[in-house]
Amino acid sequence: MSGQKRAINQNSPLRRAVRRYRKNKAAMVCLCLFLLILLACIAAPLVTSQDPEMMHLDMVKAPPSREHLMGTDIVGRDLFARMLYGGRLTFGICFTAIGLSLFGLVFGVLAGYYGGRVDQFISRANDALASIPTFLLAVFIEMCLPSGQGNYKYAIALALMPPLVRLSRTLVMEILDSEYIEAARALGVKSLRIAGGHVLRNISGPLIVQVASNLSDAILTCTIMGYLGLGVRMPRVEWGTIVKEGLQSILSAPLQIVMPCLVVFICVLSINVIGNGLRDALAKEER
Amino acid sequence: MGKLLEIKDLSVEFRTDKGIAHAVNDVSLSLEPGENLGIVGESGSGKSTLAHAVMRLLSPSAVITDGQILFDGTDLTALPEDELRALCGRELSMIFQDPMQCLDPSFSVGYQLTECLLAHRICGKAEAKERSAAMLERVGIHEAKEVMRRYPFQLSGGMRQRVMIAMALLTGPKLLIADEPTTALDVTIQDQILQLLKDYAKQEDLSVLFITHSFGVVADICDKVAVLYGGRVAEAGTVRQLFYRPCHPYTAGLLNAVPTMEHDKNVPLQPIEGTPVNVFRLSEGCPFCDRCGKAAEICRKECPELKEVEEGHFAACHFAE
Repeated sequence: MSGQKRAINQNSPLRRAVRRYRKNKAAMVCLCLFLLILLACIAAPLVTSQDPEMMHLDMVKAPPSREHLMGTDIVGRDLFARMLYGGRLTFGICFTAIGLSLFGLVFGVLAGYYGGRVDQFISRANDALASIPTFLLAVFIEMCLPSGQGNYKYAIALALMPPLVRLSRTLVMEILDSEYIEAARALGVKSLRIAGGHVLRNISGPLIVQVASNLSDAILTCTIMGYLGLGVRMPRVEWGTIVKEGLQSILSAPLQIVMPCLVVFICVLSINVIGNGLRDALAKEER
Repeated sequence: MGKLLEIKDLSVEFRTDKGIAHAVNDVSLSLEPGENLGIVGESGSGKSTLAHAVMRLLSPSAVITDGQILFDGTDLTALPEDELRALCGRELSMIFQDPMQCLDPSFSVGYQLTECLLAHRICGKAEAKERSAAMLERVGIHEAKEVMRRYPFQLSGGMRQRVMIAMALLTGPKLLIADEPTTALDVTIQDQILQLLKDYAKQEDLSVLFITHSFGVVADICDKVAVLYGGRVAEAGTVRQLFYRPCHPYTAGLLNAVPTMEHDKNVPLQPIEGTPVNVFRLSEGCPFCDRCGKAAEICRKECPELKEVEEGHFAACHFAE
């Protein structure tokens, strides 16, 4: 009986999504790759014994070796260590921005749920927000708040909000229109219970996919900020500033710019493939 | 005996971009406890709107402009939302047309069944499960415990409709509104579902408001029937009265259009000529006059009132007798 029970429970939408995702080889490989990079950054002191700020002035622009896996930069700092410690900050900024952008869901759900004037107001405000260029917003925020401390994460968060607001609004409208919500209402289930149960569970799939694609946007934007000099100030590093520093030795030690770019590239690419995999896995059930 | 449901002069409009659609006009109906009332009409006759108005599930563009809906003496149209929701599911329940769409794909059948009991705080979780399983068995689903762990996509259409019925009946309502519950099912399943509803209604003294476009279904399970046309009651009475002595040309036309087993296949079925009335532009006269063979001058000028042609049998036609 217990075996049979398990067999049936394995058919919950989540289990089936996981099963479908695991069948997707590219998505699995990318998930492993991304997790590897993420974990390596989080556990940076365990992965490398090198100090990211220590300048080995005797071995400037060294090629990759056993000691310095990615070589050293123009002042002899270990690039591998810098990438790991820099990744901590980059991921920190990006995940904070993603977390903050989730407030957009509240607005989207409210707009979708109440419709009418509330919807009009939120949607128009959202359009206005979407029309502000991210970088302009970032420069503005860097000007207003103490600069050089990664405060542009608020700009990233604001830039990521509009698609989330739009998506959640449409999804909520669509779900509220469906007959099973009507049926639940007919059976006297209360609004809050409907919103927290049926609506939330049914909109979560597409939202997860959107958040994943937002993450890759966030990493790219974050890196570009650093590259443009809007990033965190020395001695703290993140990927963007490393790319910028690598530019100084683009001819004499091209690896110093190729390596960081490659890591960012792999990161963004794998997140996008993960997002695609999630989209396929969470796609609506065909009847 | 008091009336369980009494709809008095109900009018519902849809305010759309294209204008105002008069979906339901001055409809009065009543239902005694334990009685099954069929509401028959073609597409757009306002029968679904009527059902949705009772449960207050109308879309935001719909407005109840006039009338009352009395359930056990309380006016549902005037009840605050939360009190209405407390009543819905407990005292009156509804089953829908398309069982494929009515169950949430993300939750197991068991969750959705117990949800109603838990939402009304009728009993605890363990008891809710027991009751749900018992109800599933009752609506003809064997291995109820196993089915409760399944998800809607793993059930057939007939099974889903049975689950829907179980859900609606779980709280022991006095009135069940069935909005074309068999339309989306194939014929053999239709018959089983009808039989199920009929037996259950008899055993539990449940009243059913049965919305359908099929006279066959009405003849099968209803005591009384009301024919809607253009949002108005064209004719109402017992099933026997309407079938043997239709007084409204529309009812007569509908009955003529039903094929029977004895039907001579060389004689073509008689359709009702013309198209359904446009509810955006209702004229002053009888809504059916454009399609009616008996239409006279008065029909175009004056909308006929419902008049009693024999005891309990009403028809809205100038020529009814």
